[in-house]
Amino acid sequence: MKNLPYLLWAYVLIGLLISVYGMSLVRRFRQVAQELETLAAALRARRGEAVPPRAAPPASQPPA
Amino acid sequence: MTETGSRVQDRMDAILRKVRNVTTPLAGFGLIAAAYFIVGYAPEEAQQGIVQKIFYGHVASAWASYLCFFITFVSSGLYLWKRDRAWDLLALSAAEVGVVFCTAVLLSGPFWGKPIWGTWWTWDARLTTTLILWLIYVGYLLLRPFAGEGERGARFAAVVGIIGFLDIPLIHLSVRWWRTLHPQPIVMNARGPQLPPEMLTTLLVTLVAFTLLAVSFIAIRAEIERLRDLAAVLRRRALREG
Repeated sequence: MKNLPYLLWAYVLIGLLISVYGMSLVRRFRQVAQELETLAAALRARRGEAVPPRAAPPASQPPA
Repeated sequence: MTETGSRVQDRMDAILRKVRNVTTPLAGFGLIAAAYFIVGYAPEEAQQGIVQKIFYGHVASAWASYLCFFITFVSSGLYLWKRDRAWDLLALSAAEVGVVFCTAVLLSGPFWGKPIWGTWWTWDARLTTTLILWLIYVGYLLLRPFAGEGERGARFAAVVGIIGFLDIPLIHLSVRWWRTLHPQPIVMNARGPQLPPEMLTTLLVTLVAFTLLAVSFIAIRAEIERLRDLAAVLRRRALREG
């Protein structure tokens, strides 16, 4: 058991690396999806097209 | 070929989306199962003790990085042949994920080396060739923005992606060709796996979990790159119409 800290540190570092990379993927995905939405909305507005309505909220939830 | 991508690209998009939807939750379950097997099922090795359990994460990370670099190698070859952006995009995504797993190998190894070999690092053949592999693919990722946008940068990167992969057989054979501190292969050798069944099962569970995670990361990373391409098309369209 005297080498337990080595084992823990190794897996902590692997876990941290994988989590940080996973979170960076999520952040980049959200960022680019938001940019696409903004660009598409700007193009539609320039062409004078109506903005498509958002999906209707579920019946149990009152519209905002 | 349309402004937003080729037919190969459209098919790849659909496949990657399905792959992502399947592998992401499975990878989550796989990692939980791997943690259980490593902590609660695999026995302690008689000579090395508890620190030998680094083996499972270390080997699974190495395997995942080889798989990613193999995908980069094949996709780079297909890009040079077909000149389709879809292959370049897949090569780039796999290289980035491969670097993450190769970093995990290089970080976890010293924590095993210090208590067993008495040193954090040694310029041993396998360690050095693994560090070279990491440097080649970090170079590949750095090359992308500096080699310019478009086909030129992609072509340079594809060549590096192919040449870099040649280091992997060298890593595998390094422990046979040179005298080294690193253990000989105990799973992929001519006499079959030389591990007790509990250790082999734990290794297989960890390998499957890391493979699923790597594939899921590649699919998500490729989708991000694809969405960036679409955003660039929309930006150009907005400029034309503006």
